[in-house]
Order: sequence, then C-alpha cells, then structure tokens
Amino acid sequence: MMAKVQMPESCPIGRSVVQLIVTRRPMHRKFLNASLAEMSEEEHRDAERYLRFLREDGLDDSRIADAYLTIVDDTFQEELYFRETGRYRCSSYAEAAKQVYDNPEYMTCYMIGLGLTSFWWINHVRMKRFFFETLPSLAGDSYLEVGPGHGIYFLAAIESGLFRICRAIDISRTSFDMTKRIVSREHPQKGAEVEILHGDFLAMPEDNLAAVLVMGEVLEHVEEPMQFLRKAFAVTTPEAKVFLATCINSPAIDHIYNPETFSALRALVEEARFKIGSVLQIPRAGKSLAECEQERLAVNVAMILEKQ
Amino acid sequence: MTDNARETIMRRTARVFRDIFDDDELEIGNATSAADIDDWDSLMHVTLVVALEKEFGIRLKASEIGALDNVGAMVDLISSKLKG
Repeated sequence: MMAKVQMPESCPIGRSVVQLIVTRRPMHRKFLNASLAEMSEEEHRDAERYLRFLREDGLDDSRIADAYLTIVDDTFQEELYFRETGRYRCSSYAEAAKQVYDNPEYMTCYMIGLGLTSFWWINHVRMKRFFFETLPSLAGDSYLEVGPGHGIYFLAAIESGLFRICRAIDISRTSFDMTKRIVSREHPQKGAEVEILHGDFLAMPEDNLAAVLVMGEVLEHVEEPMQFLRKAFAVTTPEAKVFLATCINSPAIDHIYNPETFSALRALVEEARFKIGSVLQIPRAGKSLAECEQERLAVNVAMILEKQ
Repeated sequence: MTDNARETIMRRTARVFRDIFDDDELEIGNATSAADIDDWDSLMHVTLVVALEKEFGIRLKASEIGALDNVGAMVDLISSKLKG
C-alpha cells in the first residue's frame, strides 16, 4: 500500500519522488509530510519547477530521491554525533573538502539534496519566505551573492527585476555549474546583467561595490567567519544591505562554525562593524527559542545588516 | 536468536521508549511506529537512537535506522547488532 503523501495532485514529479523517499525511509515520513502540509500551493509549484529542471538535467526520480536521502541520512548521523559530543564533527575546511567538496559525484548529490530541502523542509521554506519578503527592501543597483550553491536564491534575485546587475561567486565548481545551469535554463540571458563567477570570495577585488550582498548558509561552512564578514564589509557600498543566513547548533556533514548562541552570533556581526536590522530566528519544530538554547537544538537565523 | 532473547530486547527497548517519552503507561509492540506516538518526531528520533545505543552498547547507522518501519524492525536490528 502506498503511503499518503502531503502533496497536491498538480505536482506529479514531487509526488513520485516523495513516494520513493517515504518508501525507502519510513521513519522520515512523519517529518516530511508535516513539512509538506505547511507549504502553500505556490511553494509546491516552485518545488515542482525545480524537480522538472532536475529531470531535464538527466536525473530520474529514483536518483533524485537518493540524493535527498543522502542529506537526510548524513544529517541524522551528524545529529547523533552532536548529541553525544556537543560539537560538530568537522573542524576544518580540509575535512569538509575531503568529505564533500573534492568529491564531484557526492557534491552533485549533495547540492541536489540541499536544493530539495530548501523547498521541502519547513525551516528552510520559512527562511526563503523571509528572503522573498525582504528582497524588495534590499533593492539596489548591484546584487552580489556569495555561495549561491543550488542557485535558487540567485535565480529569485534575477527574476525579481530589482537589480541592474546580479553577480554570484562560488568556490565550488559543482555549485558554480549548477547555478549557471539553473539560471540559463530558467532565465533568458540578457547579456551583462548576470555574472556567475567560480572563485574565492575572499580574493574578490574590492572595486565594483555591491549595494546588496546575500550570504546564505556560508558562515557555518568556514573556519574563520570573521574573514567573510569583513570581506562582505569591504566589497559593499557604505549604504549597502546584507542578507545573512546561518544556523546555530545545527550539525551537518560539512558544518564547521557553530556560534552556539544568538548572542555570540550578534557579537560576531557587530565586531565586523555591521548593525543588525530585521532578524528571523526559526527554532526547531515544536520547540521555543528558549528551549532550543537550553537544550542546544537547532535554530536557523536570518538577519538584515547595515554598516555601522 | 531465541524468542526469550528477543523478548528481553523488546522489554529493554520498551523501557527506553517509556523513559524517552516520559510515559510509564506507554505500550510498545512489534507493529508500533512513529504514526502511533504523537511525540515521536525527528527530534525524538535522535534522542531515542542515542538512548538505544547506550542501552545496548551498539552503534546504529542513519541508513539502518531510516529504513525501519516499526519497533519490531528496530528490535530485529538491535538483535543483529548484538549478535555481531
């Protein structure tokens, strides 16, 4: 008997992939269905669009389901480790690279899986909602995204029409390729308005300043988050706005930096000479922020920064 | 594994469940799944797995846990781990 899937009939690819997922991982069914039930029809359609892109990229539903389950299994394993030791397993970029970034096959699987979690995990969905809600207030001449990864936010920025120039830079070849593909597939190129770079953000020249900088889910992957914040300061205009998203007590296979508390994260940001405007904190489902802090449970954080 | 040995594992597993879910009246059987216990979500699942690992002195992999359908399958997995 097929398990019930909380997905509209208008999303046949999503229904097929989720059915495969819950068949292969029955224990994941409750979490995934609860998350899917909270999504809007439009959010389901966006997910379906992404799945269509993956299929057009040559992936079948079984492969897509397996990529998603790689994230589920690896994250669960890291949660077990974190629960037992109180720390992330990875303590250096070299370790993360060995596990993830230097393995093109795993990296592709990882990016696909992460892309799907951005559509299907309710904490990521809420983060995306916050991004879309605040995007108009971030409008400026030039947009720069650091570490676009799966390219979904970058695509949204381009499609918003709010920016004259949209640039993205990613150190990962796989992520660079994915972002290029999704943008060229989903958005008709308009010449020099979109620029996607493969390279090290920390080595970017500090001319051509950005009015808006987005750094989503980057800090938790680096050894020296202050370097990235200082660089963000250096490559943006004096009136720039920065959208920063990261997480606290949220283990994953390649997470290195854990601020451990919101206060520590705030202190870091302020030391980098930013002041914090809007903040969104998303506690683990079913828990309050206070409970998360006390029990060291995951909190996703997004904040809008301006220069002091 | 003998029926007695399996029964013992089931009793110990049930004790862990009652402790984790803080419910002395909680009844666990082979067919019990996450759908039967309201509070059994992904967070409790991590807590449960850590507690079971400690109770039985074993290590469980995410892919092994994720493929389980119910407590009966969990007990079978624990049994296989104890056999080495």
